[in-house]
This record gives sequence, C-alpha cells and structure tokens, in this order.
Amino acid sequence: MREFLIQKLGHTLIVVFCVLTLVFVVLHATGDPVMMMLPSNASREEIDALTRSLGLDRPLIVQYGHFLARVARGDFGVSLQHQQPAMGLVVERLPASMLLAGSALALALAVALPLGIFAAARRGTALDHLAVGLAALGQSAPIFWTGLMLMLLGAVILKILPTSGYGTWRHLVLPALTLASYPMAAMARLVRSGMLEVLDADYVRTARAKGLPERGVVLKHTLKNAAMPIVTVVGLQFGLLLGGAIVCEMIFAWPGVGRLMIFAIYNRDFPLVEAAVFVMAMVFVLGNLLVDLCYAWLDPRIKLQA
Amino acid sequence: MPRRVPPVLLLAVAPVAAAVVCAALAPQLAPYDPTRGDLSARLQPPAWTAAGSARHLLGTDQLGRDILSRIIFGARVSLLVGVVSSLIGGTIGLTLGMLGGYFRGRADSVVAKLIDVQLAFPFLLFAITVIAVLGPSLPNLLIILALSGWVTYARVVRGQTLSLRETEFIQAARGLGCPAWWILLRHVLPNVLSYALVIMTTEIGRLIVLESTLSFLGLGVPPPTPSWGLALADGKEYLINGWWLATFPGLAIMIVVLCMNVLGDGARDLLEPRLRGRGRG
Repeated sequence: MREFLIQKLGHTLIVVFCVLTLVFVVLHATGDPVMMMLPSNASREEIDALTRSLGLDRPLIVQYGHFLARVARGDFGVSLQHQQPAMGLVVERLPASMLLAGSALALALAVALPLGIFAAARRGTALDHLAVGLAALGQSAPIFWTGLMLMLLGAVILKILPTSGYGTWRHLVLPALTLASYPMAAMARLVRSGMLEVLDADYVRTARAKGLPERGVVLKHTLKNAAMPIVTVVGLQFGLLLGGAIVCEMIFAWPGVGRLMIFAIYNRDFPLVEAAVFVMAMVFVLGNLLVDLCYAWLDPRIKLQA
Repeated sequence: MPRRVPPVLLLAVAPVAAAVVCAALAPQLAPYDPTRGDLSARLQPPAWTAAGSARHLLGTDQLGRDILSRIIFGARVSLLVGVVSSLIGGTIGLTLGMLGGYFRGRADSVVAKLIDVQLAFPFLLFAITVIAVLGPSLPNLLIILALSGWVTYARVVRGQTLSLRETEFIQAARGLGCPAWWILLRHVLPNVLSYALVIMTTEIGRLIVLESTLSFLGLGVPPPTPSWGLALADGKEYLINGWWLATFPGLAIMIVVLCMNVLGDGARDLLEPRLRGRGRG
C-alpha cells in the first residue's frame, strides 16, 4: 500500500510540475507578458519599469526558477484588476465552486446508480429503452444549453427558482442540475453496461442457481463487482465536471473560481489567470489521486501490482 | 457479406445529411443574410406563435437577424470545426500511435508519456489558457480542438499496432526486407484505419459541442460569424422576452450531436464487431 501511495504521489507531482511549466510557457513564450498586462497606450518608461519589476529582463531559465520558487510559496503576484494577491482571490472563491461541483456529483450519482442498475436488471423492457434514450439525450446536449433551458423552465415559465445568484439552497438547484446532467447520463450508461457484463458472469449464475432472490444477486454479487468501472467513470467525469463548472458559473452568475477566471481572461488579468488555472489543476489532480486510492480500496489486487 | 442496417441508423443519417447540405448550400438555402439585421423587426417570435410573422419562420434576434438563416450558416462553422479538427487530431494520433506501437522502446515510452500528461490535465482549462493568450480566432480554435482529440486515436491505434506487428504477414514483410515506412503505410495503416474512422465519428460530435462551448464563453469564433455557440450566448441575455433565441440553435447542436453519436455507435458495430458493447449504453 505504501509503495502504491508513493508511486501515485510521484505521478501527481510530475503532473503538477507539467501544469506549472505549461502555464509558464504559455504566458512567457507566446508573447511579451508586459504588453499583455499594460494598456496599449503605455509609455516606454512604464514598459521598462514593469519589465524590470517582474524580472523579465533576465534569462528565461532564471525567470522559470523564480517562477517555481514563487509558486512554492503560493505567491502568484497581485491581481491587476483587483489589486489584491491573486491566490487569495482564488481561494476565497473555492468553496462556492466546490459546493456546486460536489452537489452536482452527488446528484448525478444519486440518479445514475439506481437508473443504471434498474435498466440493466430489466434489460430490453420499455423502461430500459427509456433510460438509455434519456442518457443519450443528456450526453448530446451542450451543458450551457441544458442550463439555459432549465433556467427558462424553472425561472421564467414556472417562476419557482431564481435565475442567478448565490446564498440559499434555491440558488443551488438550477446550476447543480445543469452541471449534473452530463455526468448523470454518462454514468447511467456505464453503470448499465458494467452491470450487464457482470450479470452474465459465472458466479452470478451460481448465485441464482443456489436460489438467491434476484434482489440479493443484483445488489450483493453484481454491484460490488461492477463498482470498478463506475469509479473509473466518476474519475473521468471529474475533469468534465470542472470544465462544466466554469460554464455553469458563467450562466448562473455563480461566484466561483471558473467565473473569476473567465473574467480575468476578459480583463487580461494574467496573475489571476495563472492562479486560477493552477488551483483548478490542483483540484483535478487531487481528485484523480482520490480515485486511484478508491481503486486500491475496491480491488486489493492493485496494491500487489504497484 | 452485407449486414442489415438498423433503422435507428437510417433515422440518424437524415439530420446529419441535412446539416451537411445546409453547410454546403447556406447562401442558397438561407432566406436572409445572417449578418444583416432589420432593426424594425427585432425580437420577433417564431411564425407559429400569436405575435409571429411568416417572414421569419424561427423569429429574429435582438438585432433583427433571421434565426433560421443564422442556424443554416452556423452549420458551416460547426461542421468545419468538427471535421477539420478531428482530421488533424486523427492524423496526429494515428501517426504517433503507429510509430509508438511499431517501434516500441523509446519512441513508445515518449508517446505513452505524452498521452499521460494530456489526460492528466482538464482539457477545457488548457484550451481556455491558450486561447486567452493567443486570442480567439478560427485557426487557433482548429488547432486547440485538434490537440484535444489525438489521444483517443493514439491509444487505440498503438494497441492495435502492437498486436499487428507480431502477426505473420508483417513478420513476412519484414523478413523480405521491406523498410519500416513501407510496412507502416502498406500493411499497418489499412488495418488500423477502420478503428480511426470509428473514433472520428464520435469525435466530431464531441468537438462540435466543445466549439460551441468555447464560442459561448467568448473564446471561440469571433462575432459576427454565425456560430451555434455564439447564437446561444446572445440568447442568454434575452431568455425572458425572447426564448426562441437560445432554444433553436441549441436544438440544432443537440440533434446533430445526438445523431453523430448514434452513427458513431452504429459504425463501430458495423466496422468493428469486436468492439461491440464497449462503452455502449
């Protein structure tokens, strides 16, 4: 187990390093950050002053070292627009994003698991077809359209939920539903196909032959063994959830990291973009690490292979 | 041996074919210029509603532009982006996958590392970062989207090439002294191409959604080019007094992507029966 943990942590560190390098290269090698940060009518003196204060007159490799050292201290500089430390601004918005993503994931699991299990157990019936159709539909609709349509339904036609904002559970309903729609569909499909595969296995036939009630067969023998692909899907959905959260926050004016980042891009506030990208990448990497640990917990054979 | 084509596939072909026709013949099909607005006819509801007029079947937007014309022209951007970027991505993935799988060793571990790094980073985040710096434009969008897709091709093609290189006909070709590039082009490529084509069918749908998402965020095709994602972004501001602005472009995306996904599943079943059931609901 310890070796497995160390290996995974090492992998995580490599990915974090790659992300940092990418952020550095994208912001430093594709243009002059000073020109991006200053307004287009800046004077020569202003440009020189900022170049020196940012250390951009030094060799690239030295700059890269300084960048890594700053990041290690959690210092991403000061947001140009807010005039506050960029990292602080991002961390401030993190709970709102986590609340949105967490509720969406919980909601998706709460619907997809029973739906997928039910569809697999009743394979070929009208209910199965309905579940498969709904899942295909949910996977085809772009998330922002789902969001707008839910907004239209809940806030404009039925007038029971607010269109945007943050604070009460009523504000959370529409964004969470929107964000949950895609992972819900993807998970339901994979839970169903995972269950179908296992339902044909020899030990399931044995369990049935021994006269176990069908409910026991499905819930005890099948579900546990179908859990592995389900965890994989949850892990794969994590990145989509993160990307979806950005879109969702934009639609519903949800004060999270994604919205902060998009506005920082519009305003060319690069320190803030750097900090936001870094934090989101960290959340993603840690989420994947968690999924890997779940694997080891679910399937003891993995520990031996590590 | 001819196989029976499932009816659901035939049903899915129609909307995709319609989108292709719209993209090809947009100037002939569209009733109005998609970029020119008629300010006296702003926010007109669709023809079948009480306040609608027969002149604009799906209504007009906030600048009085005909929604139907914008959807017809929008098919151009969506299909162009979907097809071109999946072709570029497919070519990169196919090449890297074949090279890694055939030569193994160091080449293979470089390809495997590249795949790992790309999968370890949420793609939308990467796209947003790059576009934030390079600025939104159609060529930038094509490159970014192409980079998002190559991994899937590379993984599948690499696996297939690994097992192909051990087959007798490839061993025989090598024994006869054929150079590696000849074996890759004449013997490996034809055998992995069908896998790549199957992936491409589903990739196009995914890339269309990704393009519209980036356009929706203001990071895709710059206005006033008619794009389905841009049309939706406009519609967001007019949800209360113009529900049709966002509804119809979104429906267009959803129907085309749904049909592409169905076609992708169908193509996989027809071309590669061995893959049947994998990842399928």
